[in-house]
Amino acid sequence: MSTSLLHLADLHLDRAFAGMGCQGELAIRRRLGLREALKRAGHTAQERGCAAISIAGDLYEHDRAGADTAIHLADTFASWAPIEVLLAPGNHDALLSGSIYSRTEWPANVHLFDTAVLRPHPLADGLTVWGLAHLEPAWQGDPLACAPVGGDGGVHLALFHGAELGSRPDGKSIHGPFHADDVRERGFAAALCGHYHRRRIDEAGALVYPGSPEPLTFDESEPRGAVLVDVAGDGTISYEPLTDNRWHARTARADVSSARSLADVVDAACAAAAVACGGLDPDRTMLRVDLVGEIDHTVSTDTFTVETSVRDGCGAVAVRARDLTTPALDLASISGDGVRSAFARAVAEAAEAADERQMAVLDDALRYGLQALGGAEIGLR
Amino acid sequence: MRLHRLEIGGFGRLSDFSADFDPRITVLLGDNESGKSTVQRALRAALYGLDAGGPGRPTDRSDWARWTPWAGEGYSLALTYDLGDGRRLRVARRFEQRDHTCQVQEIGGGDVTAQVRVGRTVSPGLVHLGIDEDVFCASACVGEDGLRLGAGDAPAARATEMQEAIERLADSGGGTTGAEALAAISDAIGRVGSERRSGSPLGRAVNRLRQLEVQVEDARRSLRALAADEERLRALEVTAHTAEERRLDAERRWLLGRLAAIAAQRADLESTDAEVAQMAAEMEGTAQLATFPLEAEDRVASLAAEVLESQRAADEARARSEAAAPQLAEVRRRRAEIAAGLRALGRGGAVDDAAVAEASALERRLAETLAGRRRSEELAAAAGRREALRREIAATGVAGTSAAGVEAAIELVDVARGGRSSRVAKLGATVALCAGAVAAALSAASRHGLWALVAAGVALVATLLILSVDRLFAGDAEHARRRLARLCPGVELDGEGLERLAERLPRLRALHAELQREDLRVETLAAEVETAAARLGELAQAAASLASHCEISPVRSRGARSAEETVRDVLDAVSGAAGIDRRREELSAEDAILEQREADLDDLAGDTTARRRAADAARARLVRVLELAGVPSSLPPSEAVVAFRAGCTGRRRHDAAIRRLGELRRRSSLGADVKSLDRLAVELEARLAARGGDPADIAAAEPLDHSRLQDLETESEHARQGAVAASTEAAALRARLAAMRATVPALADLEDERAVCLAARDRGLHQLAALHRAAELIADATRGIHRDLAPRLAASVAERLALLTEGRYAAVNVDTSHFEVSLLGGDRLELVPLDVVSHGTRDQVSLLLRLALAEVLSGAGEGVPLLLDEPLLSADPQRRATALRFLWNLSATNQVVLSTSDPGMVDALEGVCDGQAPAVLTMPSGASTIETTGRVIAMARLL
Repeated sequence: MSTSLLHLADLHLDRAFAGMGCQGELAIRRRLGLREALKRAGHTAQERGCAAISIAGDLYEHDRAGADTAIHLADTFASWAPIEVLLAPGNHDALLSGSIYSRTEWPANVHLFDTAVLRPHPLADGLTVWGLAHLEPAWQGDPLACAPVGGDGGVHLALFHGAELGSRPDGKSIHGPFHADDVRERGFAAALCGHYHRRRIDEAGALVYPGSPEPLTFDESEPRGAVLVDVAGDGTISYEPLTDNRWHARTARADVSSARSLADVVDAACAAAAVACGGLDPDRTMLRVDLVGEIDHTVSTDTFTVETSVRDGCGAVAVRARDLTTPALDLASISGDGVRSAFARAVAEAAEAADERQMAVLDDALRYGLQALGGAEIGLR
Repeated sequence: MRLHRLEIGGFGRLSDFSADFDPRITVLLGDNESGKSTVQRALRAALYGLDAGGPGRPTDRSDWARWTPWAGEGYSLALTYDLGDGRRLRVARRFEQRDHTCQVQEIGGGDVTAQVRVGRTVSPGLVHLGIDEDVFCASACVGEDGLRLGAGDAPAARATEMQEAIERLADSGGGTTGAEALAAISDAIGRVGSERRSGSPLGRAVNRLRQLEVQVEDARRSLRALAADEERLRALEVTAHTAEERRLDAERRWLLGRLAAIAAQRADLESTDAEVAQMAAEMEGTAQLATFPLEAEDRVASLAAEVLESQRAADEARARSEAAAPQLAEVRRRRAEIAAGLRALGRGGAVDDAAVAEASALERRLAETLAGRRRSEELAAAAGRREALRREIAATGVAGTSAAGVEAAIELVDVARGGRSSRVAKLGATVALCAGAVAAALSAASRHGLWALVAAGVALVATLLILSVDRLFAGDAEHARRRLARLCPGVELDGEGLERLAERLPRLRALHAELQREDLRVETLAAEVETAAARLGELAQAAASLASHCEISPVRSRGARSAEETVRDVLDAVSGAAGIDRRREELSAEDAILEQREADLDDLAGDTTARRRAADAARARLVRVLELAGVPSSLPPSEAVVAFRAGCTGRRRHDAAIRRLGELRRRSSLGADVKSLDRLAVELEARLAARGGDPADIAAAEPLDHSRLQDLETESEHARQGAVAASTEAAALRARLAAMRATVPALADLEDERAVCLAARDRGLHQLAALHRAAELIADATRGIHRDLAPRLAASVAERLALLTEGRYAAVNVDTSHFEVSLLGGDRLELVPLDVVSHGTRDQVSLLLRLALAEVLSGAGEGVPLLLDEPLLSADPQRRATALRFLWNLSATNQVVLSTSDPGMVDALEGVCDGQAPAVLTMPSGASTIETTGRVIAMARLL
C-alpha cells in the first residue's frame, strides 16, 4: 500500500509584482493566479488520492498578507479534507506572534509544525513526516541539526524551508542552511524542501525542491508545479513532477546593434518577443525584453516606447524592457578640437575613477551629451 | 590645397562638364540656373562625397538623390587638385549606385584611395584639409552676401550671429554649439522635472510616492489592527465555545440527575403500590382489633407496674421482717447489757475538758522537767572526764606549767633551742680558718706570697664574722632558758630537756584546752539539774490544784512521796476520771443507737402488712381494667398484661396500616403515574442525546434533588450567558472585521504602485544625475575649447588682417566665452567691438575668422580653398572693390573660386588684381559650350 503526498512550496501569496512591471489590475490578477495555483494543487491531490499536501514554507508573504488571506487559506484547506495539510512555515511566512499562522483557527485537517526543530507527525502506518517552522524571518539554524531518526523500520520524510548550500543560486538568500548529505545521514528517506524557486528533484540526494508553482520573476521559467511524492509499501520513494502553471515568464534578447533609429530598435524587440512568446497564452505571459548590443549613441532606446510597441505586437500582458546596450562609440576615435571630442575625452577620464554607480551615470551622461551635441533630441533612458 | 580641374560626367544640371581652376582666383560667371552653384557643390562632393541617406534620413531627400543628373545617366565626377607638398591627386567618384564608388589616385603615383578612407567613406577633403565637411562648409563655403558669417540687417545682430557661427564652428564644426547642447540638456532636465515640481514626471512620482508611503503605513496599521482583532475574535470564540461546553455539560448533568431521579421516582411508585397492597392485607388482618381500647394501655401499663411493684414491695417487706427478728432479739439483749453497765459506772466526776487540757499541759511540763533531771547523769560523767584530764596533765611532767604559760613556754623553748647554732658556727669558723691556712700554705709553696696573705686574711675575717653572729644568738637562748625555768619548774633545760619540753608542751596545751571545756560543761549541767528540781516542785503544786478542781483524790503511795510521784498521781487520777466519763458516754450513745434500731425493726412488721394490702388493691384495679378490654380475668396478671399488650400492638398495626395506606394513596394521587414518568424520561433522554450525553450513563448517575438541580440550572444559565456574551461580542467583532476587510486596501497593490513610483523616482533621479553630469562635462569642454581656440583665432585673424589692411588694425581679440571679436586699430588706443567697425572690415574679419577656424581646426597645413557663391551680391561698388581687393590678396594663401552672375564683378576684380587677369569661367545659359576669357576655358553642355 503506497502513500502519496503532493509537495509544494514558495507560493508567495500576496506577493508584490512591481518587479515584473505589474501593477494595478494585472498585479491583482497575478495574485489571484497564485491563489488559483493553490486550489489547483488541492484538486490535483484529490484526483491523485494523496494522503497529504505538504507546503514547505513561503506560503504567503507576511509583510503583505491581505485582510482575507487567512480566511481564504482556512477555507481552502478545509475544502481539501480529509487530505491532511502539513504546513512548515518559512522565512517569508515565519511563525510570528500575530501572524496568520498563529491567529487563524485552522481546520482539523491542518497540521502546523510550530517548533524550530524537526518534530514528527505520523502520516500513515510506517510513514512519518518531520517538520519544523521558521520562528523568525532571519532564522539561520540548520534544519537537519537533530538526532538521527528512524530505526523503527518506517519511512521518515523531512519537511522544511531551507537553503541547500550545495545548489544555492547566485544571490539567493540563506535561510535555514543545510547540506544535502545530511538528509540521509539523519535517517530521512527524503527532504521535502522549499526556498529555491527553481524545481530540483535529486533522487540520489533525496532532496526535492518543487519551486514556486507560478513564475514570480522573469528568471523563473517552466516547468512549474507541485511534485507528487509516492512512498511505496516497501519504502521506496518516487517523484512525479507536475506542470500546471498558468502563467509564463519569458526573457527575449533583442540585438539592436544594427539599429539606426528607435523604429529599428522596436522592430528588433518585437521580433525577439514574437519568438519568445510563441505558442503561449499572451494574456498570461509576462515578457522581459533585453536590448543588447552596441548601438549608435544618437539612436534612442526609449524603453517605454519599446514596451508599448512590444505589448501591442505580441500581446503579452506585461512587458518589461531593459536597455542593456552600450553606445557604439570609440572614445579614442573621437578626435579633433571640438566640444564633442573634448566632452568624450572628459567622460573617458571621469570613467577611469568611477565606481559602478557613477559609471552608470557617466554612461547615460555620455549618451545624452553626444545626442545633445549632435543636435538630436535627447532620448531619456 | 589648390584645385586644378573638375570633370563632371553628370551632376545635377551639368553633364560632360569640365573646368580648370586658377591657382588664385577663378570666377564662375553665368546667369542664374547656369550651374555655378552646381560646380561648387560638385567640388565639395568630390572632396567629401554625397550623403545618400540613412537611418532617419530618407534617401529620396538625400543629396545623392538631389544631385542626380538631370540627363539621368553618367552620375560621376572627378577632381584633380594639388597639395602643398607638390603631389597632385585625382579623385574620381561614380554615383550611379546609392553606395557610390570612389577612387583616388596620385598623379604619377598609385591608388591612394585607402589612405583617404575614413571608415566606410572615402574623404580626401577630411584627410588632406584636416576638417570634416561640416567645417569645410562653414568656413570655406560662403553663400550669397555671405562674406560675413551671418546675414542680418542691424550690425549688432550680424555681429552676434557671426559670434554664434564662430562658436558653432569651434564647438562642432558648424553643428550644434555647446550652448545649444546645454540648452537641449536643460530641456531634457525640464522634461524629467524635479522632486519639487509637482507637475513634472519626477515631481508626480515623488508626490505619489509620499502619498503611497502614507497609505502603505496606514494599510499596515490597519492590517495590524485587523490581526489583533482576529486574535481577539479567536479568543472570544474559544471563550464562547468553552462556555457553551460548560453549559452543555451542566445540562447533561442536570438531565442525568433528573433522569436518575425519575428512575428513582418510578421505582418508588412501584414500591408504593406494593406497599398499598401489603397495608390493605395488614389492615384486614387486624380488623378485629379496630376497637381495642388502646387508650387504656397506659393505665394498664401503670397498673401492671404498680401491681408488680406493690407485690415486690410486699415480698421484700415480709422478707425484711423475717430477717429482722433475730436482730431485734440481739438489740434488746445488748440494750439490757448497756443498762447494766451504766448502772455500774455510776455518776461521773468534775473532770471537764479544761481539766483534761490542763492535765495534758502538766504532763508535758513534767516530761520536760524530768528530762532536766536526767542531766545529773551527764554531770557526773563530765566530772569524771575532768578528773581524768587533770591526771593526764599531771602525767606530762610539766604539770607545773599553767595553761597561760604554755604558749610562752613553747616560744621560749624554740628560742632556747637556738643554742645549737653556736656549735655549727664554731665548726664553720674552724673550717674557714683551716681553709685559709691551707690556701696560704699552698700559695707560699707556689711562691705566690701575696695570694697567700689574701687567702689567710679572708679566712680570718670569715672566722671572726661567724663567731660574732654566734655570740649574738647565744645571748637570747640563755635568757629564754631562764624564763623557762620559772614557767616550768622542775624541768631540765639542757638540750635533751628542751627537746622533750618541745615535744610535751603542745600536748600540754591541748589537755589544758580540753580541761577548760569540761569545766565549762560541768558547770552548765549542774545549773540545769538545779533548775529541774525547782520546776518539779512547781508542778506538784499545780497537780494538787488540779486534783482539787476535779474533786478527785489521788491514790497515795506509801511513805514519803516525791513531787514527781505527786504529780503523776494527780495526772493518773484525772486520766482515770476522764476515762470513766468517756465510757459512760459511749454506752449511752450505743444504747441510743440500739434503741433506734429496735424501733426500726419493730416498724418492719407493720410495713409488711401495709404493703400486702396495697398489692392486693392494685391487682384488683388491674383486673377490672383488663376485664373491660376483654382479657380473661382468669389469667394471671402478668399473662393478662401480655395479652393486653398484644391487643394494643395489633391495634397499632391496624391503625398504622390505615394511616400508611391513606398516605400512600394520597401520594399516589399527588405524584405522576408511571406512564407520565416514562414519557418524561424519554423526552429527557432525547434532550440528553441532543447534548451529546449517553443515556447509558443514567444507571450510574446519582439522582439529584431540587437544590442540586437548581444549582446546575444556575450554572448552565451562567455558562449560557457567558457564551451569549462572548458570541455577541464575537459577532460584533466579526462584523467589524468584515467591514475592516472590505475597507483595508490591498497592501500588495499599494506596494506595487509604490515600487513603480519608486522606480520612476529613481529613474528620474538617475536621469537628472546623468543629464547634470553631461551638462557639467559639456560646459567644461566648451569652456576648454573656447579657452584654447580664442587666442589662436585672434592670432590668425590679426596676422592676416594686418597684412590685408596694411597695418590698419594692429591686434584682434576674441573673447573666450562667446567669441566676441574686437579690434585694436592703429590709430586707437582701445579695442573696438566688431559691431562698430565698418561693414567692409567686418566682412573681412568674418572671412578671416572662417579661414582661421579652418586652419585651427584642421591642423593639416593645407590652405583651404574658398568657394564663394555670389558673396557680394548686395554690396555697393566701393565695398565690393574693397572686398575683391581683400580676396585677391587672400588668394595668395587660399585659392578662391568665386561665382557670380554679375559681369561687373569680373571687371572689378581685374581692377584690383595688380594687372593680372583673373581666370573667368563663363557659363552661358542654353549653350553647351562654356567660353572663358583669360587662361581657363571649360566646355560644358547644358541641358
